[in-house]
Amino acid sequence: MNLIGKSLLDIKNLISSKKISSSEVYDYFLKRIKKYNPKLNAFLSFKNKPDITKSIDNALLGIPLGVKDNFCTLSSQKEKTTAASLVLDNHYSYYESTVTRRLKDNGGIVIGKTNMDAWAHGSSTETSDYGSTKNPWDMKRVPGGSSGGSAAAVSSYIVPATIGSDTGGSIRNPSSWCGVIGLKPSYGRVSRYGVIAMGSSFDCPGTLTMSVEDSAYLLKIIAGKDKYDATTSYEKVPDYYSNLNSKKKYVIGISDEYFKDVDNEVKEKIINALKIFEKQGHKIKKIKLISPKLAVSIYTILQRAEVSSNLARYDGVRYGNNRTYFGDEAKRRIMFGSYTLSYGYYDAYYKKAQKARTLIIEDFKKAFSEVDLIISPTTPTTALKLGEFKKYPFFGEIMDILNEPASVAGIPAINIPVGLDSKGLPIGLQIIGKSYDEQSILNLAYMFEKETDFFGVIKKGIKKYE
Amino acid sequence: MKKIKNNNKILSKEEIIHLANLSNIVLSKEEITKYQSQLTDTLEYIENINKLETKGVDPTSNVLDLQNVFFEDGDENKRSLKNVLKGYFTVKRVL
Repeated sequence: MNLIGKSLLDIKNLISSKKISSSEVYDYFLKRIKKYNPKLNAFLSFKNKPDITKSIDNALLGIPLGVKDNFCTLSSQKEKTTAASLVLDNHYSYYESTVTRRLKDNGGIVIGKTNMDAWAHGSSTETSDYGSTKNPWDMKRVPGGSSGGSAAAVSSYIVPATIGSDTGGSIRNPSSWCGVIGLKPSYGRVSRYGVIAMGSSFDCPGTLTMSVEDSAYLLKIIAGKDKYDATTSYEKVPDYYSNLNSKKKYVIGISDEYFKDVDNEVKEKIINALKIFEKQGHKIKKIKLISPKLAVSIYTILQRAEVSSNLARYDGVRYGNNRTYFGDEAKRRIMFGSYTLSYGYYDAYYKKAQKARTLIIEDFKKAFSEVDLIISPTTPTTALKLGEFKKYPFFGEIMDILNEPASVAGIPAINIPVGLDSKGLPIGLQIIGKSYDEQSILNLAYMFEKETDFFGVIKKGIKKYE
Repeated sequence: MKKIKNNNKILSKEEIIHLANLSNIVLSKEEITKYQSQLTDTLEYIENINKLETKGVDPTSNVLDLQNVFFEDGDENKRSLKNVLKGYFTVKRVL
């Protein structure tokens, strides 16, 4: 059966009505990975046959999924977890991340591990020690990052859905540039246990999918309190999928600060989308927010500090290779973190940034007393050419400028495609919500999907790989 | 990128070597020069954080309002109630 373009839930229905078996589905996607991955480099590793599982007779019915290579996974076959760094080139995990554990317990099958910026440091996937992933829309361009492999894999339909992680835009940025749906949940909504730590106070596992329903369905499976991660919340996990049909009208906030330095073509499509939301009966309201440029500085200081501490454990003594295997970007970040944490600079940078972080949190809280959701572009431009990032080492943060404020505040956000630019590249819109209000984000995205089908962007992406 | 303004801090070669030592990273000569200018650029960017007045603001180390969790004695922690003698836990000899 030709499954092309079928969403995760479509496939689930086909399996449950016995129109296709889960092993046929596995073989279908395996074939596609084998055909397209040599060009795309979206998967770092994949398995020729599914792992033996206890039962696939539940929520995910044995559907194959791609998982970013910074999630520790166990497999009945040999499966590495490298975070795309040569430091972990020979690393086989001894335990399973909570996210992949939950997926597997619900009948999901990890078909392979997706490419990423090494240690999730970057916005292009070019810092991967195993070569950059290519953007499925244009092989000369980057897919964005750091979950670039996860985004490219969904966009080219070599797997129906993937898991990524977002520290400062790492799900939203590649989703935007590859034209798929990328959800970064609230901090603490999804367990970080078994995810190779980058910025521990920012890291959020999330989903990359081709429909809003799939995002809602997967989020419920992976979200919730985890006894292995003390920072997960006791907040009840709603049935995001069943609640999707809400007819609620929202007050949507927009801030001028989030439209500065944004390409005109991107701006146009966002404004066009806002008109559609208005037509649907939602209210658009202008709000004031602290400049995202300041959030970038706060993010840079705190995240680099957390990186320098988290990557200190890679000494090559217990596992992995020694520190000479670190790439350029990791070294840059570790040293910068060491600087802002060092004697004499701690108060001026680290502590100052922690205080400023409080201001960003309060700024959003104030905004959300006036509006339900906030909309902005996801990225200031569409996908850049390979090699452009290398010219400017700080460029990645500039590309994530509109994503980092929500990361600093720990609040949820989603990317949805809203059209193509004149080069034929996808443009993404970001919806930001209140802490633990993923439901409203998904609802609004769902209403947009019903109305516009994302202007066919997701379908056009897949069509290139029919 | 942009030129470095005079009033901003410029990292010296010695500082880069010191940072590399702190980070347990070995750098080549070329890398020292490269990181010197790149990290100085990053420092220049983050200077804008001083535009935010943070006097009297509490620092945030974690965005969640997490509080301590206590359990009543029960299933969750029953195991710890075993092998108690006069208010002490008894364990197997280790020496």
